[in-house]
Amino acid sequence: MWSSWVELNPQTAERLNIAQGDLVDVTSPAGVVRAPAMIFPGIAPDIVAMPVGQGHEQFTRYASKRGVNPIAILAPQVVAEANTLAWAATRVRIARAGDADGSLVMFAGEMRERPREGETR
Amino acid sequence: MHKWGLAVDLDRCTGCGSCVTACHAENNIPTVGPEQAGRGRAMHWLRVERYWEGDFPDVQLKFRPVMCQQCDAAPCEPVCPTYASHHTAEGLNAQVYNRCIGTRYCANACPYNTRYFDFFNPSWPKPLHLQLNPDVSVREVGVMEKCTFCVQRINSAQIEAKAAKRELKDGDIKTACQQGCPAQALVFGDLNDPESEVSRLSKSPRGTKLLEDVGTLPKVTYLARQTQA
Repeated sequence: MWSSWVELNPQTAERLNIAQGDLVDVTSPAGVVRAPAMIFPGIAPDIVAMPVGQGHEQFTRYASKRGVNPIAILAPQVVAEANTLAWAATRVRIARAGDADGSLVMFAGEMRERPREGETR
Repeated sequence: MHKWGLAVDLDRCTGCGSCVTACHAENNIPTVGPEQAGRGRAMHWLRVERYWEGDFPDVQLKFRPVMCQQCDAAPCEPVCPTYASHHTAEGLNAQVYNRCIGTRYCANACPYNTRYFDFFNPSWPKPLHLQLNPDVSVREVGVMEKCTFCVQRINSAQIEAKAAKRELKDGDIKTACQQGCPAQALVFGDLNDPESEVSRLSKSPRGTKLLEDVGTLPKVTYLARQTQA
């Protein structure tokens, strides 16, 4: 898999009318990032998750300008007891931003399978 | 005469993908980039399929590594007009790249989707070209390629055993995916040797073949997951 994605519970995605690969805006008090949605049954319905480690501005020709950096929109909250960044405490708003643009490329499960309904490949 | 086979213990597989990486490194498999991969042109001789069951929080994720099943009655072989796809004496579904003219009939015939077509000439940006395996040919544009059961390892182990004037013993040959698997889910060996580990596992009551009803007689056996009652 390349680039970034937003993991969404299937029920949450259905409620928000978001299909696999659709572009999603993730808005927090600190900013907004856009990435394709990945329907992921293993995540709780009220949680969204994004992989950290992409969206480099400068980091060689292979790693830079790929995906987005979710740390950019983390709210500056700390775990008081440990005085560390609260990684997963940012409240975000999820909104469908556009149709799938092919930026969600998956190998597992889907590879060379029949195109989904309404999709031409 | 040997008959090579593989057993995959799904109870051990964690879906980590080490086998895929090991296979890429061993067999000089090119990468095609995100755009072409999105069009289904990625070449993984071995892939990890992913199956979800249930809804959160009672959700289960199951993995299945799928490589060429090395069928005894292989649908890919009779359709090849140039005999590029053929059966060796030791039961491997071999692909002769020099004979292949790229009709892709074999990939159409394969029920497991484990044949991959070279849509491009492969290239490795420097210095990655230095890590190519010299024992495996680099395929050019327009030919079909697939899992070989690491035939280069099979042959070199046989040559070594012959030079040392000894019999090949179980465990002498490890495929790259088997070597890379941290959970030891994959076991390769000789199915004609009743004492071999792979023979023992293949006869397990947990053993199943992929798409068994198609009648392709695969030499890869999947051992079903065991659940605690």
